[in-house]
Amino acid sequence: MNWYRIDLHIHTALSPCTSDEMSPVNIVKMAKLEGLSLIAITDHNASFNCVSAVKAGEQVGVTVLFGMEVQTKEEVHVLTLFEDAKHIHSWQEIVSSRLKRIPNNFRAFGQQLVFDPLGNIVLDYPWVLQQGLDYSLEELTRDCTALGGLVIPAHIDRPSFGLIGQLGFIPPNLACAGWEISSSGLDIATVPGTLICNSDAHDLTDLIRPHKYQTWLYGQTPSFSELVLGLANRCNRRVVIGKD
Amino acid sequence: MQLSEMERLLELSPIVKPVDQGNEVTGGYVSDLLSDVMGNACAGSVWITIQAHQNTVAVAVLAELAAIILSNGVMPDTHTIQKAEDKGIPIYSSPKSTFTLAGELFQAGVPSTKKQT
Repeated sequence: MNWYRIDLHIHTALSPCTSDEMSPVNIVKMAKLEGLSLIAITDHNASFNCVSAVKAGEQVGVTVLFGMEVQTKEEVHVLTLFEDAKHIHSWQEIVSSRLKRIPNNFRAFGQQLVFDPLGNIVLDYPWVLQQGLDYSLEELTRDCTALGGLVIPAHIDRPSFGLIGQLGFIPPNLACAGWEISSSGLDIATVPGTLICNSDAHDLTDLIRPHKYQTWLYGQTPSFSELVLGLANRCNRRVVIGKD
Repeated sequence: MQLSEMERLLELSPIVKPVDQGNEVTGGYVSDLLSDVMGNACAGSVWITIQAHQNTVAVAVLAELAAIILSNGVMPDTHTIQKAEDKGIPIYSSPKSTFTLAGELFQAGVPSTKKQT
């Protein structure tokens, strides 16, 4: 068993307000330099750069999970993570079916870039991605979990798009795999599960994190299945912020 | 109604001044859900909200809104102000509630507008 540094909330240039340097290949190389073993690509309501990131990650030795940061009807941001391309594809179909088709305006949200594994731009996605889905938090959590996904509400302590800010409190029966807090809210004591802290990176330097905000997985390999155990605190696996 | 008249009538504090004070406000929309504004607010409307972050400005650009009024004394951070200046979206702030601001505007003849779906 070993400790592996993880970061499960990273945006590529597919997301609005993200630096154009955030191609999958640049991200995995920077992750490698930063000592990260397991990362997730989580663009707003979209997974179109995941396969490229996984392939680029294999080249440098960083495990990449298939992820998405979805935005619920209540405008709560939620990380959803999957083990393989097949499942994220099914999840993407569901998410896309609940998005309004609004043409993207470059002036409002910038470009939404899709890359190949080498870092070449292959598409500027034409529809607005950052918008609330026609999907409630409760319904989305249930469906994503049923599909084998991990549901982790994002930056729950942040005033905009965080669960507590949008809903006032954590719904008592909401079953999530973990809970992400932003670096400003490390003292949250009332969260009903495992806390994690991610970079929510929008440019490459965001991946550099001070020790007290780093999240670590204790397990056999840096993989989806070990992460599942770690978040559930089972079989001697665990996930902690700021390992000693 | 012109922006200058709206500012005077509602006693607003301009945070990001309009490029042209004479720009017309053709309607009003009230919501704190950004997606709702994206889908329903009409171009040329003024938007009253307590949401004061960079996405608020992006939504105003996308929906081609005339201005944003932040109610309840909410103030934007410097990044949001910078973005609004760059994109030419006027932002005003007021200690009044959203209900009061919308009521005053409506009484002064600014119509409620919503996209036909």
